[in-house]
Amino acid sequence: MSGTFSSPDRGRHIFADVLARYAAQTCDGRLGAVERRVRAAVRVAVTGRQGVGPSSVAAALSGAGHMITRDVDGADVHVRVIAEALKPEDEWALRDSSVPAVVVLNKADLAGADPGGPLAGAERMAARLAAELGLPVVPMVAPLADVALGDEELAALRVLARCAADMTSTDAFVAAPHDVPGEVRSRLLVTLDRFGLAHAILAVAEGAAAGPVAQRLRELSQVDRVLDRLTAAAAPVRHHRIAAALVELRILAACSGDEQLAAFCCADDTVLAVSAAAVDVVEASGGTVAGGDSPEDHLKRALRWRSYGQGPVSPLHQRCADDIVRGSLRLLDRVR
Amino acid sequence: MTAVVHVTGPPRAGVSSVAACLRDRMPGVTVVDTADPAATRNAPGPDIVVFVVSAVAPVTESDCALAVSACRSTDAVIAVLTKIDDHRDWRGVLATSRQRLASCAARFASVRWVTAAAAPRLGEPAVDDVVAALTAALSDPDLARRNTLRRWEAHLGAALTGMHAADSGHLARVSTLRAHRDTLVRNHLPSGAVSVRHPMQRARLELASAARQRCVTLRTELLGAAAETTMVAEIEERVRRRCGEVIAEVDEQVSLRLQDLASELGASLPEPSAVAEVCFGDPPLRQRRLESRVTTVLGAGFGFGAGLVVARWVTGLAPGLTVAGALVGAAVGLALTLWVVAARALLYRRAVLAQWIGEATGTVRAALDERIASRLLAAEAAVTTARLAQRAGMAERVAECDAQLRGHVLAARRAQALREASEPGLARVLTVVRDGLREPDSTRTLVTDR
Repeated sequence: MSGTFSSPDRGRHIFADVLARYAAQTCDGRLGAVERRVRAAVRVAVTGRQGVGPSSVAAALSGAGHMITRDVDGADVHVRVIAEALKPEDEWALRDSSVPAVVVLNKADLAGADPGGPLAGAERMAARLAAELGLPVVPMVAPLADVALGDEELAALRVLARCAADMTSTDAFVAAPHDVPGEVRSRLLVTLDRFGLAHAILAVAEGAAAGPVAQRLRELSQVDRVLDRLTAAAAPVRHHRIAAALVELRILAACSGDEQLAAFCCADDTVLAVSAAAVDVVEASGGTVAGGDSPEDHLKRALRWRSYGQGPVSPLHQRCADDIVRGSLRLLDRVR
Repeated sequence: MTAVVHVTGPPRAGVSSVAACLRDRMPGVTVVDTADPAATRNAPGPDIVVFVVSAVAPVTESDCALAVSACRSTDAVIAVLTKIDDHRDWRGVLATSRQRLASCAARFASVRWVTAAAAPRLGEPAVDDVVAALTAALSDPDLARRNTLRRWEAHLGAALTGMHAADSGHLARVSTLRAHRDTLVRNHLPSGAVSVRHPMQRARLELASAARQRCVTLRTELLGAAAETTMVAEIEERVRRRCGEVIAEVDEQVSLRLQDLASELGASLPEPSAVAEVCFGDPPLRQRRLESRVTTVLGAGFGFGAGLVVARWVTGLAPGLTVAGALVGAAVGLALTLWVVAARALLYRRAVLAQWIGEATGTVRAALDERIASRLLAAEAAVTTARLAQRAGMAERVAECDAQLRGHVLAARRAQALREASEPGLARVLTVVRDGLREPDSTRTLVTDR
């Protein structure tokens, strides 16, 4: 059960699974809607100045299963896309944002000359911006997140690997004479840009097929890091949904006199699932919840989070601390 | 004198790279990189401004505002789109940026846009277009005249804006002062005395009632103790101790209530004076010779009679018990006589003690009443004095506010008069300057308009 205290976004799934299991056991049709609300995708608002790539970031996030919206007020998480520099317009948008925000430093491949490569430069800039804004900032090369290379493109890449093209500028790459037709080169440039092209050519030269090349490009795009940050930023939303679902279930149990449902609301599995969601929240904000399965570990954890909840923390963290204490005490009771 | 070129632009647009390239390529020109605060501090005013933006995305409103600010006193502006080697869509970015800059200020509609790659990752820097545009602009014979006109326009615009700002500043100050004065007057409390008196009266009633109740319970307690005691000294000591305790308790209660009042009325109260010792005197157990004699006679008579009855009863039990009967009768008679005398004396002392307790509790009550009245009076006086001082301070503040208001209204009128007198002239000159800027080459004398 130590996994309860270590996996991002596990809380929501654990709770939804526990609820689904109970609904299947009792054949209670009323719980389907509650479960759907808990499982619903997080709504992500992707905004950004024209030209910095909000649409490509939105496409990458949408491909990962997020529900994308333009309206920040109706969203659960706000993703602000910037490129090269943070403009006053971006700062205003982030200041006006009423939901948790994540900043994506797009076009990280064009972050400028850096001894460690453009991504290292972008990484440093992201760290500086994160310290300045107090928000998570993740570099990204959004167009590389989901690249599909056809046979013609792959063949062109092989030719380019054999015979180097002029890469001094984007114009030179398309205009300079080369065995690969200009039209194909132009298409490759639109799909991969110079950074993606260089890495794709290297991968093809090493004998990689279309799949591994796309996988390598996806790794370079840093989309998975963005998704991790997004998951972390949405942790309070998911905890809130679970808390709302529990309230709904308790009301349902009280109105219908369903004692079994009332017992489910405070059963061990339910409490542990809520506790896991609370762990997601505190870990997303930089806290660490100690694992361990021995009675001492559970007791120590319960005591630690009890004193944390009594300290000067936000109401959300107070609730989460209570949930973690409750979960730890149930685990302690179980292993004794 | 060498020409001065200021290279400016938003952060990370490539300002420093463009400036460095221009320094290399145009050694006869003083190139100032505005991204470097040390270089900008003592730099001369620019003949030409090179506004650098990146090809990563079209210019934003904040970039346009920066362009307006940087080019306020210089007519010759060259916009440079950098990093075109990196961004494949630089042509679209150029078109949108050109359109946005033109729509932000009419003078930017005719700005020349050139492209550059001042710090390419591969190959040599490409700033030929920038150098060509700068060379052409510097060789324009009309450059100095247009820059002078632009400086004039900036000065005149600043003067007009300054006058309007001074005007609105005075008006804003006047309205702020009025609001402040209204607040002061609103906070002036005509019912201040009433608002002090009511809580004081209430406190006095509450405290007096509490003290009365306390004295009643004390009296009951002490009378109960006195009715059963045989030790006068012990009771006397107890009465003195309990009375002292009750006075201290009620005094403490008064202090707490006054603290509440002080926080309610927002004033600090004076320290209470020391509790004066209450003098109770001694119980009036005076000598009572006549009463003692009467009690002795009555007791002796009662004892003699009772002893006689007992002696007869013992003698009647058996004929040989005459002497014994006489002795027993005498003993019983003596014992009864002593008991009656002692009981009477005890009852007397108890009655005296009860009376003394009544007097002592009455003294305590009077002392408490006096104490409550004097402390509340002192508190009321302190609060009223504080209120009066506050009101006097408020009147001073209102007078000061009025004086400031008069000063600002006067200054506002003067500023308005000055503006009304000079604005048309300044506006006329500004129009002439702008006309001069619109014309490609003007030979008119601008100030006199001839």
